[in-house]
Amino acid sequence: MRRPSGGGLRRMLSVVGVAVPVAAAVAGCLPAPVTAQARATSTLWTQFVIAAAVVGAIVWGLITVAIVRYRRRPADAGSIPPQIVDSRNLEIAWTVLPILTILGLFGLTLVALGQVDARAVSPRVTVDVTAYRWQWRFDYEGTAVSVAGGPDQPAEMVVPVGEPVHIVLTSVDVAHSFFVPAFLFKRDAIPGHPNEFDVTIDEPGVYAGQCAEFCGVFHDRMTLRVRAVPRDVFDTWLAGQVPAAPSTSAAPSASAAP
Amino acid sequence: MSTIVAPVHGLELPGLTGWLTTTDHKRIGILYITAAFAFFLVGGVLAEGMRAELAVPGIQLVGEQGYDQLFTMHGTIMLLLFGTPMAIGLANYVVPLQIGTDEMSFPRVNALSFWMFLTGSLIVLSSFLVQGGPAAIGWTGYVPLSDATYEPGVGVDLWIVGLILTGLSAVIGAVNFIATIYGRRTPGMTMFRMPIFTWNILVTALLILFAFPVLTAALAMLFIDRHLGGTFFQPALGGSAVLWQHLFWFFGHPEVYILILPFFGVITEIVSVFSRKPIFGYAAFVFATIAIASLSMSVWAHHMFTTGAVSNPFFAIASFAIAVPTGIKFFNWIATMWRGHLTFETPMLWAVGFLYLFLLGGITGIIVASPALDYHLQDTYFVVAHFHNTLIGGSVFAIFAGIYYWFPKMTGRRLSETLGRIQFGLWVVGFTLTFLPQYELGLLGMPRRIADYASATGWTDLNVASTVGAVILGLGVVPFLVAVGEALRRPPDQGPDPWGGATLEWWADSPPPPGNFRDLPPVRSVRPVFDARLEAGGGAPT
Amino acid sequence: MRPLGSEVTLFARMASFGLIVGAVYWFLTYEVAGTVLLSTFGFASAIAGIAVFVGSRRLRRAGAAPPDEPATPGTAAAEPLPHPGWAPLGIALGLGAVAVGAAFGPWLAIAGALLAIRSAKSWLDAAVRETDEARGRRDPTGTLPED
Repeated sequence: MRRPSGGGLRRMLSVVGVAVPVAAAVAGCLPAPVTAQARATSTLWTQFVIAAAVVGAIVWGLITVAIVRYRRRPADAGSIPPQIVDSRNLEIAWTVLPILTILGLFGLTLVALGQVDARAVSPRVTVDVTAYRWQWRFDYEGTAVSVAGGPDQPAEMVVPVGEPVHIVLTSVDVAHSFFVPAFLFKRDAIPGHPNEFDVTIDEPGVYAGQCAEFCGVFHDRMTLRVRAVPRDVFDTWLAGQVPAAPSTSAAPSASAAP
Repeated sequence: MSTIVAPVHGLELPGLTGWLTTTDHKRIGILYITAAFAFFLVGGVLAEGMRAELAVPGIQLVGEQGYDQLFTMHGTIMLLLFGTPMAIGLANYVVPLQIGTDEMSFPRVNALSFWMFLTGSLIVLSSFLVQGGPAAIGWTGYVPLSDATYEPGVGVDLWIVGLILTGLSAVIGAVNFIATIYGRRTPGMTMFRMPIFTWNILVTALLILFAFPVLTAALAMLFIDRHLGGTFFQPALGGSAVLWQHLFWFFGHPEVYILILPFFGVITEIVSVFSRKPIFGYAAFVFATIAIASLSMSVWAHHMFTTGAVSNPFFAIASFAIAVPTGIKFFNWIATMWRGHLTFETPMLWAVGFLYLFLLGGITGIIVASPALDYHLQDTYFVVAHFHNTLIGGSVFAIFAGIYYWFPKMTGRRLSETLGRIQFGLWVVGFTLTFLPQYELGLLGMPRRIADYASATGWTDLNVASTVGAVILGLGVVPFLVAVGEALRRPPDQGPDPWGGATLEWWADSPPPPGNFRDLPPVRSVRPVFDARLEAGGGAPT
Repeated sequence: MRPLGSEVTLFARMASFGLIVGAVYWFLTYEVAGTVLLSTFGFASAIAGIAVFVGSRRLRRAGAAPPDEPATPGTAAAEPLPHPGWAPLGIALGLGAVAVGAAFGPWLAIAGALLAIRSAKSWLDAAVRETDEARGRRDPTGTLPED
């Protein structure tokens, strides 16, 4: 079963021709990004999915060809196939190609990581997010405003759109994780290890999130919401908040079962 | 053809006493495999309970506390009471045969490691019987959740001490394997004539030797924190919660390679035998295994990308690098099949299933190894799907491949091809239906380890599909159990070499008598049995 | 014969990997836990490699055939294989009781320790007896031979 010359190239092209639409379909499964950081992540995801589809198509294709084309036929009875043990050139090729691929993917990762982990020089809003079993509290730095969730009412963090919001994340009991799927981002809240990150929301809206690090029996109910509003709405909202009780100690009342 | 001196053998005692007092590596291997498989069934039942709870929104079956206990015990059982001992069990049976010797280096120590494993495992499982039930801390046991403040129950203590015992058992087992492979190879069998399975067991034993003590130490520290006033992991008292994650994953990541390298070896053997060709790129296989093992020691913190406590680029590139040796293995497997005469008896069927499914696990592994993507995917169902993809589509498929492959050697009987095909079909369908939806659930943002989700999330349909898949996987075990029962009722009818094998275990009788070999062929290559067959003029195997 | 067998180079590779990556990791991150873990991995591999190297040299001097050499097929080392015995099971159960005792109370631990020690004694006795049998000079009184 010899193929005409040029078949290799055509096969390669057909692999890419299958892989790219597949990749596009799979890439669409991610939630639409709503932050500047998430757009970088989303782009990276698409790049990775294309690479994955090409690699998958090649390797799955080769496996399929092997098991279809080289299955034993009646004519093979009594003979043994050529006992090939290695091929230096092939082995070098399939060592070097993956190395180049992962270096490329690593480069793309570094670019995206730089954008996702970037910090604004002087963000105008800083929210101290405190995770505790099984609720969230949001304290707005420079104000006395403090918002916490209650039973059957997820904590809601109101933030302005179109500008970086700085978040300082801490936990007062066990490890939690702040996760909003629409941001394509999460960060762990670990006792004794505060974390900081910036998020720049592009589109006004309400985004659901929840704790992503197992934290005990009501882990599944430790939800939160982020409400992104225009700056003037945010200012009005902030000014209208009743300042929290004078107690600003980090420890919230023992535990608030939702 | 040489004859080995008939060793001085103790008598095997009859009946149950024989099994309880045995020091024979083959019997110990069968004990390991049987116990590990029993734990696999237990872990599987727990998984079905989890899938039932998650099928639709609402708390309907086990409750939140019960669900947390289920996933904790499911993970612990599948990784430490099933996967690792299953690898050790297959190795126990096969490695001494493959290197042409009569026993392990330390047979009594071998028996001790099995009984310590079983005792430790039963202690872990006994936590179902104590007040408060088993630990609900995840198999990762993250502090401070697992400390005495948040989880005071005795279930966590039993989890700790049971795992310390199984960990010690694994370490002395590993020493035994290294000593056996280094010291008891038959003359002529150089390191680079060892079967790939034996090579991979050697490297796995090294990983166990370097990784398990870290777990044992971490568990001991946790026990001290819980009961003896220690503060290793208590941030309020000067300890560090991140330290636990470092220690746990410094064990935990090599552990997942402990769970796959032996089965890479199984697949390599089977692909070569059922293609009627030598292993393509033998030396590359060996070096790829060593490279994967070494790299696996330096990637632990890719489980910690979202902690903000580690150098993400360092662990990203180290994790990406594992794709290179793994890719080499894939291409070598394909090249081994290329231009061969492939047949698809059940072992090969599972091996081919492994090649298709494990590739997806590998590719998604690259995706979660990218910190920027992992920020979204960490602790979601994407990660759950990824590691089940590698551990079921990879390890479990290879375990069934290995069991179907070596069952004739162990019992003198072949498992039914028909039932094997039915099981394989159910497992491919069940696996796909269970875990592909979980990838999508993870992308949508469903976190792992939640007992419930709101219907407003829109995750219900995918969860229903996943649960249906899990039921199919569960049903898929039935044909296997029937096949084993049916085969064991038949009289033994298999010769030494039912598949046309190439390595020394196919020279011994099926099953091999105590002492294993009456004689041995000369070992002049990786495939002494193939060479001998060729010399005898019967080159073409069945 | 190469100066270092593949057995030793395997450990040497792992040792150098652990030490080099440990050093790189330290200068990239200044993170203590990982550096300690990586370099301990390196040192442990090095120690294991040295032990194997020394052990194999001693074996070679004693005249045992190194299995790493393509030799003509010969005889495997004939040494006594242990008889079946209860000792491994006894030690495992004893250690299990010690472990559970750590969770529930010292009495269980003491009973377990006694069982483990008792089983270890019978292990040792059996091992000595079998070695003597193999050397063909079994002392009927069962005392230790001077050796």
